Amino acid sequence: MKMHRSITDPAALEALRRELMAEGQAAGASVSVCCGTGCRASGALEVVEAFKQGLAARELPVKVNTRMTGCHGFCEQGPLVVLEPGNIFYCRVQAADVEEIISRTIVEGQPVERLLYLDSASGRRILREENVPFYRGQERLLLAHNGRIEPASLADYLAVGGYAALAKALTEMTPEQVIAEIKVSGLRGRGGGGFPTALKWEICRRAEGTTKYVVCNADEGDPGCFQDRSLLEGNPHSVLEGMLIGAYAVGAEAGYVYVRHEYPLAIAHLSGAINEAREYGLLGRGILGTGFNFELKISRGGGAFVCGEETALISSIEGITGEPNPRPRPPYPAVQGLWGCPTVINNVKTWATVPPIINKGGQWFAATGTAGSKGTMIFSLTGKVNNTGLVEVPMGITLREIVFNLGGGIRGGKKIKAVQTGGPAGGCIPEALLDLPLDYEQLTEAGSMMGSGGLIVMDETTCMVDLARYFLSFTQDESCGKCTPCREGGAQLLHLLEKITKGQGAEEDLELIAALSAAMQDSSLCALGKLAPNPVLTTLRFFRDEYLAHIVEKRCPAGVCRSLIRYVIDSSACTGCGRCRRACPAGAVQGTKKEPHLIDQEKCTRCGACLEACRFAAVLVN
Amino acid sequence: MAGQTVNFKLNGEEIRAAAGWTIWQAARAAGVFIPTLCHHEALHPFGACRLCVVEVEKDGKKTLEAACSYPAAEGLSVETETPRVQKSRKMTAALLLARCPSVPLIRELAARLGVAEDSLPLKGRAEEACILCGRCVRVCREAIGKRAVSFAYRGPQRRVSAPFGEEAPDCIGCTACVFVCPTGAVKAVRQDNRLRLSPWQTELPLLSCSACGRSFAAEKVLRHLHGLQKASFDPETLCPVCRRKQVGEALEKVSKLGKAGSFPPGKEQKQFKH
Amino acid sequence: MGIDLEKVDRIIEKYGNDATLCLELLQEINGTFRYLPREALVRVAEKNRTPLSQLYAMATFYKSFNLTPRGEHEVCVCMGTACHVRGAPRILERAEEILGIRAGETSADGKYTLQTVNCLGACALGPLVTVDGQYHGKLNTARVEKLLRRSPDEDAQEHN
Repeated sequence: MKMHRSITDPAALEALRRELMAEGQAAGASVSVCCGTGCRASGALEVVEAFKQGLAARELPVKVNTRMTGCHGFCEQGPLVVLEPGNIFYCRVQAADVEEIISRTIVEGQPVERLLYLDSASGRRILREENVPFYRGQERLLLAHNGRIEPASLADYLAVGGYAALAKALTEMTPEQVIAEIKVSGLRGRGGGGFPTALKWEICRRAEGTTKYVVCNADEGDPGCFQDRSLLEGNPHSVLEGMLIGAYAVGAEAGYVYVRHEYPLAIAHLSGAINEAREYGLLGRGILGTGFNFELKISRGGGAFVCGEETALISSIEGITGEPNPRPRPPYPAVQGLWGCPTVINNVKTWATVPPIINKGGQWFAATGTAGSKGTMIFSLTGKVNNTGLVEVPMGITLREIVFNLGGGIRGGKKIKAVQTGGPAGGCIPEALLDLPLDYEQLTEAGSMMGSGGLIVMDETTCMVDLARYFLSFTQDESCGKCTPCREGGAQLLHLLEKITKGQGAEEDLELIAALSAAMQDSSLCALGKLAPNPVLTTLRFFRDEYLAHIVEKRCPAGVCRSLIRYVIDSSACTGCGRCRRACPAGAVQGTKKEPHLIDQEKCTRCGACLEACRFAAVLVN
Repeated sequence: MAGQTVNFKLNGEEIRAAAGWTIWQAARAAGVFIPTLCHHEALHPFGACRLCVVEVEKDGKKTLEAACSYPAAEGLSVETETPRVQKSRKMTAALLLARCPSVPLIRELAARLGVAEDSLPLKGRAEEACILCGRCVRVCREAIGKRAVSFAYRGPQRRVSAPFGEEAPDCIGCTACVFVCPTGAVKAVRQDNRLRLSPWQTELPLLSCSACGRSFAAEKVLRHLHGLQKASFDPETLCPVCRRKQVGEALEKVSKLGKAGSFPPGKEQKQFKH
Repeated sequence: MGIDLEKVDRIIEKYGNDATLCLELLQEINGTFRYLPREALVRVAEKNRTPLSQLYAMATFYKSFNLTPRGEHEVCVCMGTACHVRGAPRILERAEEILGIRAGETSADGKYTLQTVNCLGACALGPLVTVDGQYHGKLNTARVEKLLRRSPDEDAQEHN
């Protein structure tokens, strides 16, 4: 499929789209291999190669397109392959399986049973992607096309309706109407704060100055989140289109996408998309024959979480100060941002939500969700849950539905303890609150936040004190160190938590933790410091018992904190297979073959390798 | 903007401030003291030490804000000594004391705010004197225009440093950093015709006065100053004392020639004594 | 140790004296030399009239830069939350033992550099390690052992 002309006006765009759609329908079948980072790690590229070679080696009655698509979301089961027609869904496909897929499914039209998804609840194999429980409960608006198109291909994006919203905005709407439509939709920032998008745009539009900027914040630093990465990798044109519409609305002619350097594939796909858009006149001067001009540049981050903070991000793009420190606010970036010019900074997901709103209307978007939180949200579902991956769900869905219906429950039949939301700035929602409808307000009320949409599921073997310690060590590591409360307060707080996990804590420490947390929340310069105590405060609020167990009884109930645990072997369950003995790096496991083994507590470093190695649940944690 | 003013409440009293002023500036003009360590009037607001937090009520919401950087605006209500402010300020002082346990200024501040000696468990090094207020870095950048030193690393490792922790090639030895440092962490020592700056690990030769022979300033500073005045650099330079003396003598000559009042010679000599 | 300054000059020329590209410029130098050589930073400062202190501030602020040469092979352990709850600390510890170096260090023979990252964004596959940019997911201590005990050269051959 080759395009060869510049798209000079909306009519040309529609003509080209019709042509591309017809071409697509003419192809007899297609094989879509998920080539997101997750599936690549599991061998997706080898699978693609095998398909290309296997299909080329045969005479087939129909033309079969092999597509390398972006992330399908169900990374746990990767590499994923979807065959059309039929929406046949194969998981954990390896290159060696491809020959069978071609001969059985493509040639004979029969499924390869063993590659179909096995639903653990019913024990049945599921044929079609849309029927897999992980997908069935989702409402995919932003991720709708991720599995259907080649990410950087303008042709593919046009064939699924791409840039229609841009054409509509530029030719049928005034900038004010665009902002009004976004206002009707009730869209709020998807990066964390949940600030109303239309309001931000309006402030920027009204701000003095002729030079204005739009910025896409793709510095997805929240550990446990990868939806921004997947969107940029899988459908970069949707982000681009959203930014174009936003730029038109606020009156900007230039923009930046600030991407983490840890996301090389996202950067590659995005620059591919930008180049192609420029080639076809969708970026540059006089876009679609109107008077609208727009240029877009990529700015690569250097590995600093604090750059997700708007003012630090600005400093980083400017590159002038050399130190991406947060700046005092006000003034807010929408009034005084990049080089002092009014600047709208929105998250990847926020930008990608704009085109569907313009296409289908704000009312349509607002029909989904809760009173204050509209539309859908993409969550990264990870941790101790069976089905990990990306889920796009309507706002207002409960955590329980996500974890148990989409996520398929907890691994190894263990008991759920909590779900951590909102990344290092968020908090832990305990089991008792799992029926909370997910929206901005409800999460904030529970002491957490929506954040970037990370959901990390924890079971009884996750220690909440250790988790709080982990998050603090993260925020300390990522703090810029500019203001006293975050830098010094965070260090003190981390020290106290380390003391407790080592069994050296005292009850008074809890008061000091509360006082330090309050000071950080109240007086830190930017959101990183203000929100850093959240994981500590929510775990203290909901899991005080666990803290007290560490402090008073010198015991870690989850069996995680090393200074407080011992590994022992249950001699009645041990078969003497020797796996633990071989796995132990310290040589602490002793025993003869087929006889129960023993752990020498003097030598044991409590690394847990024996527990991991044992197949008979004979290694116990005390 | 010129001439415009804004009205807001400070500790219950209506006060007027010039548009563009920060709360700190307005408070000072009104005679209300707000403590700060990182703020310096010659420099842009930085908002790092957080000692100057005040409680700001805006649209019915009360938040703590840094007075040094928060703009005074119409209709704000600002309180500088509420329990919330005091609590936060006290904790900030405690944190700084824990970091720099032996800096007199910090000790005094902590004592005045009622911070107990061992209120926090993690202690800094006894010799640590830097509170990372960044005045040195900022004065070098904003006032001198040299950027010879900067912050380096981040988080708990953050420090002020010359490039690579070694000699600062762009340092001219103006010692503005020494002058603005509130804790004595930045030091200059003059010895053997050389200027030693720490912690910058930088040593610069001092120029000697062509009259009295005393070393008085780094050559680079004088070159810089000449550059600013677009004048060519003359290594035959007088130290400030000798220069004043020279000017005085010239004036005296003028006054002897004319009829205007003269300098009593005895007093003048005492005044200019080295 | 001398470095090829011509290479540095070419990179400086490519990005020019645009402050917004300074980070990119340093990224490319860091990628080319596998670290940021001091001579290169001095060169950038001279050519672009950028204060050296600013380059030093950037070089030490951002995690992606190194001021000392990295090893031939880079092993990076993800310490993100999803990986953490699934045992990343154990994985890191094992990697440290096997390679005989701590996180952030390079082995004496210059073969390996061990690093940690706060999230690689492939959270569904945790715990996760990358070796020379290749992702290896769903690890346990035994698999880390297998992964790091054989040389990455063999690994590369297998991939080809």
